[in-house]
Amino acid sequence: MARTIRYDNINTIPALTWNWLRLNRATLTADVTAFGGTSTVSGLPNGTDALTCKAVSTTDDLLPEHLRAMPGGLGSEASEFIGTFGTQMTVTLTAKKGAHIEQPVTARFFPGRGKTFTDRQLIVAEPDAKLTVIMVYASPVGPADGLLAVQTQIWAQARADVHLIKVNLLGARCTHLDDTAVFCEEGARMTLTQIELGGAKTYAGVGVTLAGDQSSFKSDTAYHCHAAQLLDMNYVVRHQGAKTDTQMTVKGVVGDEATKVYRGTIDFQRGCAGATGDEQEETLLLSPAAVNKSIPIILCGEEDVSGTHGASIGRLGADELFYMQSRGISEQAAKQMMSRAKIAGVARRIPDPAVVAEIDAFLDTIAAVRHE
Amino acid sequence: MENEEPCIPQISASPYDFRNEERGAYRNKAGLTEAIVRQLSEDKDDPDWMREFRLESLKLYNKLRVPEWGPDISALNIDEIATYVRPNTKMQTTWEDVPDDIKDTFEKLGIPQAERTSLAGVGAQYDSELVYHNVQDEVAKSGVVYTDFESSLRGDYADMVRAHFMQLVKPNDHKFAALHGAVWSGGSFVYVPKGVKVEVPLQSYFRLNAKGAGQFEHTLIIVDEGADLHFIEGCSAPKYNVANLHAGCVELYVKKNARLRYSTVENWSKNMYNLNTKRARVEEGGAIEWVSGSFGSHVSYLYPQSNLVGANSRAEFTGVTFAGADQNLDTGAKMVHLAPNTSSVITTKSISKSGGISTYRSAIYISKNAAGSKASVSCESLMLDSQSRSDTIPAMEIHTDDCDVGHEAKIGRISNDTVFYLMSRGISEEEARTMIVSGFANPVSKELPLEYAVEMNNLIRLEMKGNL
Repeated sequence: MARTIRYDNINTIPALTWNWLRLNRATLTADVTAFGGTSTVSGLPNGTDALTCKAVSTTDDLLPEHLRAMPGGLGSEASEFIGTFGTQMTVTLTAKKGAHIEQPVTARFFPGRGKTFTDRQLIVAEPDAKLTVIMVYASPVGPADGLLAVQTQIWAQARADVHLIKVNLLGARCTHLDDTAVFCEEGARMTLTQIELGGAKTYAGVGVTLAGDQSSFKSDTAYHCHAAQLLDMNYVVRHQGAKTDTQMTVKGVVGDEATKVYRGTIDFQRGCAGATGDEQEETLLLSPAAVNKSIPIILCGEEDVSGTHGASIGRLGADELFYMQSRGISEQAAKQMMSRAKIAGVARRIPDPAVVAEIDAFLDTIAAVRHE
Repeated sequence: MENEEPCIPQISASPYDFRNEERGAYRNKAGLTEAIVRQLSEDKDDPDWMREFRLESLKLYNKLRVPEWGPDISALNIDEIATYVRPNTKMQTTWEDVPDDIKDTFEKLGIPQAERTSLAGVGAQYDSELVYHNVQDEVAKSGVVYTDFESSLRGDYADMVRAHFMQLVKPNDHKFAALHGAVWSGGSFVYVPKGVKVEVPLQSYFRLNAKGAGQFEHTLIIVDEGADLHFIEGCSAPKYNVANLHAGCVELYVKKNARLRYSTVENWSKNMYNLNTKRARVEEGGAIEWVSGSFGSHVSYLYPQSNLVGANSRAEFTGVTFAGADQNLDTGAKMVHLAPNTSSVITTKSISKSGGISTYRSAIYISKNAAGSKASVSCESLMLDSQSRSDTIPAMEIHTDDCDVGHEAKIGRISNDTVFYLMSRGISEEEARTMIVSGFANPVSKELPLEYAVEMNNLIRLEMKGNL
């Protein structure tokens, strides 16, 4: 039996502004149906306990108390939904102290057609451990609908190095909630690569706490919003430790009647002396009906910091277009080329050619639909 | 003169912090009720429509909530604010006729001297009413109207004023716009006829002397087709240990191919809640240029908005905000592009020290109809210590692909290398840091007439004093 859920505090920014902009937070309404879907994990190394994977009913034994409510980006309403719907099991991946897991671990998530699927993961990288996790969200072939809600928690302990890759290849009628919460200890490095291509409505939230001195967060996000898609993002990075560093880039195209919302916050909290942060956004608008909303925020309670952000939003430059047309490339092809270049620039960071090929194929599908 | 110890520590003795006794002034009962608004309307001998307008605004005020964003204003209790304090004088057209204590106030602020040397006209408001208004003969002969707002409601321009009053900033815009609609008093009306270019600026100066009072002046400026005006607004108040409130409203109409520069050097005392609203409507080919220096107030909410409604119209906002001890200044600008080929530029500088909080807040809105538009935002913040805060909250909303929007922001501190370099040239550290901050604010001060640029640099110097 389907029921409609409504949450009014999704992706709330840490410092509110004028309500008429409708940027302070998002409202999610979705039909919730029976639980259904599958997830798989592959690429686990054999014959070693350097990386363990298990499903647990509670993570309380694995996380110290102060990390149990690790803040993500989507907010508490989404967390509560994901935490109380479905099996309530959490898949945990633990990279042991000093372990360097060379081969990426790949998790795939398939919401059942017309179903609601929730999944939670906890990734623990013990001191000096290094690992890469790829998460691919995909739908069954055909015009899939349904709801997929995923929450990923990452605890990067001292000097750990974690690369998380999230790729959204969901069907055109899917609603997607994707929450990522990260806690970095001293010297830990967290890298996030995120590619958003699918789904009808996607709400992606990322919350990072750089608690340890000299910890860092680097993210590269690419998106291609088309048709009537909504992509609603909220990235919040809290600098608490000294000499912490953030580098965030968000690039993509918005076409057709799609809407993209980007909220990005760098929060320099008192005590993060020597911290640096940079946030760059590039948005290419491909249609007069496309809508872009951006709010890149810097909050600063510490003197000894350096923070910058920049944003560039507009259509393909007349000079670039003229150059391409003079080489025999049509306007349509030129736009497509630029769109793909933005995705490809980020996708090349994915150390799995099969996943990169899936992204290419998905982009081919989008282009094909447009030419129909 | 009273000699009262303020509860909020001063950074330095300010030349603006002197006060007069309220001798013979009329003060209404503190608070905001229908009876108080009716009495105010009667005292001011409002036309009927204005009385009804006030009462409707009061209803809206009671319905609207305080904003959920921005600095905390919970300590502001409207029940303790006298919304109308009338000085014991009528408006004069020569300084000699202004009562001595009030005249001394404006002498200390340098207004009569500025009028003699560099202004085409002056309006001086003391508490809730204008006490002096004058415009140079040659400017008046060109058809320029510069008068107190109350007179404009009855004279030849009454219909024009009624047609424009609170049409850009409607009382339902926000709670303090509604408050303004209910209890506004004083302010200026300016009309510049078609094609007239006023070479020398006009200035209105607002002084709030009364303790525990509010000032709610209304400024309405209409610059007709092809005309040109520079209007300067100044404001200050002595410091008290209770809250004062300023909820003024500025409405600017810039007609086809006209240009208006609106400059403000705001130095309210640090017990002031400055909840001011400014808005401009710019028609085809017109230009609005805002130049803003915010130094005073305990709390400020100030974001001049430019509605670019005509093709090829443009707006610029250049502002500096300096938040010192016990100040929470939330400032910025809003640019609303509603027509093709419009352009806007925002350049701001924020400085925070001694626990002050400075927030830059902006919005760029580009509508479907604004194809070919360009917007550029640059905001820089300087943190002078770790007790202070500086936040940057810029928003952009775009509804057409045919546009070019750029935004850049930077936050940091004074470079030790630069201080060291200046000190190696024999300059003291305090002087070096003051020079660096003045240089940081230079993009704003260079946009002001010389006298005001000097005043702004003096304000920076005062704020920086004892910084080490």
